[in-house]
Amino acid sequence: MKENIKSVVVLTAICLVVAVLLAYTNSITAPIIEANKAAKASGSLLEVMPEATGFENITETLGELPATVKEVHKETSGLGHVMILGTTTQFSSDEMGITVAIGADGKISNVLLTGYYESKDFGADYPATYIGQDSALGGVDTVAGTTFSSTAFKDAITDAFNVLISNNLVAAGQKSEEQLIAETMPLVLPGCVNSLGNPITVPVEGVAAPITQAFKAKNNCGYIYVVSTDAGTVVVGVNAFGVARALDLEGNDVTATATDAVAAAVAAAPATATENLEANTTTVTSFFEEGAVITPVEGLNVFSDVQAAFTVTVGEETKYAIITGPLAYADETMKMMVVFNANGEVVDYRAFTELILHGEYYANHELTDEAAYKAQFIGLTEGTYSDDMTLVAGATMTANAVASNFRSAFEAFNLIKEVVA
Amino acid sequence: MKKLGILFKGIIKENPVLVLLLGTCPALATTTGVISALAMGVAATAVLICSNIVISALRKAIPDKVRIPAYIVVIAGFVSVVQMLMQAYFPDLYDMLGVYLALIVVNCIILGRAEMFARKNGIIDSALDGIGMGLGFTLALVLMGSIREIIGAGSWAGIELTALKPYAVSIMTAAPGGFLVFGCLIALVNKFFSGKKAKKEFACEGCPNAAACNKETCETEAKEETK
Repeated sequence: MKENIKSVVVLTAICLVVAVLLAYTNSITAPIIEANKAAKASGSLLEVMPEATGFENITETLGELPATVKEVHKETSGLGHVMILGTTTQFSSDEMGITVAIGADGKISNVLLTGYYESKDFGADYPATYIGQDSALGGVDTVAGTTFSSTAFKDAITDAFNVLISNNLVAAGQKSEEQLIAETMPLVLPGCVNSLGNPITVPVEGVAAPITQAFKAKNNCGYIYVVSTDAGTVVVGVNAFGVARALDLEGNDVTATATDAVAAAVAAAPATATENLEANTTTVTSFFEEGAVITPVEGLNVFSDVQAAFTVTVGEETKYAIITGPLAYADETMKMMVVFNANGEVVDYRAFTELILHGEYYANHELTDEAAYKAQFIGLTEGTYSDDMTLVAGATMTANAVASNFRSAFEAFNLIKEVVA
Repeated sequence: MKKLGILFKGIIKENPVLVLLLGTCPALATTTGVISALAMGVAATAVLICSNIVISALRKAIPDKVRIPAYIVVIAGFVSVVQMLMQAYFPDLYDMLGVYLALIVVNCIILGRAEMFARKNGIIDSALDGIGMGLGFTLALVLMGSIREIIGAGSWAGIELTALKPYAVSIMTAAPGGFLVFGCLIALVNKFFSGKKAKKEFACEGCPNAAACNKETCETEAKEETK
């Protein structure tokens, strides 16, 4: 017993002495270690803002930040802010590291790419094109061939500016009209926008006043017109059914007020739209038995990637065929058709391109049984369908296009049913 | 003379790495370069000297029952102190050694010397044993680090050896290279400096678990193996 007590006492005493020794050492080294850490952290910050006298990490004080903004450091003498950003392209999950210095004048004073893991480089000079830019980023663009990487880079920089602007740390830059038009276009016709948020369109030549610019959606879901009015520039989207909606450059819906602009846009659209409708009618006709009455749906108020919609009457039964053109890999249009019965169940699903799962882009990689893949959607309704069902590992872009197709088709079907009702 | 013997036996005759085969893990992990090998050697030596001194000083006060936990607490305390000092004053070395610095706590050399030497000898002798064993450990690590860095990276302590650089065999800085060099050095030391005596001494008596296990059986087996 006595020996046990002695053991406990000795061991406790040793622990206490060691604890005191550690506490003393920690009291001496802790400030030095902290200073080392701060110096190490500010070392990378100094690379982009060499004239800085010190930095204060204000990340925690800025509320919820976008996922791309990792750290925000304020230069203590008021030169500006250095932000550490991390973003991913849609090809790789490895983070692209960016350190950007934004001066007190709201302009980028330096930017550094600290991590880049994509196989294709967007060029060593690309980040430098951002130097001197304000939040409008008017003088920079994405790089053809590395669109995903350069878009991710640009979006991360935009996020950085948004954080500073929303916290009143810098003033917003003035965007040019061209930029504002480019930002409004995806809003008026979202169906022509690819996975990066860029409208995929073809310019239409020979436009007449008041229309100043015209674009045809590459996936035939409509047109976009830039119209000059007395109240300013208006961007009008006309869908494949001839329905228009208009937004001003501040993003306000002016469909009801900018009637002249809307009328001009609608008047400019029909010729090609009719041509596209005829082609789709032929396509749909080939899938139904002879004697089926196929009637195009008109005036459908959808701005997704729907190209056309038809009611198909076969005997007593009425079906609804929706043709969509979602954008997939390399902004290719994947034309598809979903046929619903009157109850909103999918009774047929077709893809008119060979791109789906083992075609042009997957020639050497048969990812899944295409027939079985398509068959899984038969019988589904909006309530039982889920985007998760479209997923195919290794064919993400195609799967996204299939998901977009079904979302658009269900939306169109619901609107048709409303009109019928 | 006896004191000099204590000091020098750890360098070759009872070299902890190449003869006693202790501390193999850090010896392989931190010898990719001379600098990290030297840093690990110095850190382990500092802990070894301090722990030997303290354990020797407390040898009469620490009850036999709790001696291993007590040694571990003392060793862990010194390792933590070394860690904090290195992090504060040699941050680059601290980053270089990584987890292996903290793992000095479980380095067999340190606990082995505490159990085998420090608890039976005076403070001066224990300190000399710590210095000797530490020097032996450091020298072995630096030797391994030199061979691996020169052959594997064409440099020594970060100094580029221009003539060797193009012929660098990078596997030498990887784990297989570590085992290869380690094996060759053990073979050389055994060839030229017999370590038999040290092995025998360490076989059972020096084992920290000797008291807990069946010592007689262990010794019998050891004798049979020797035959």
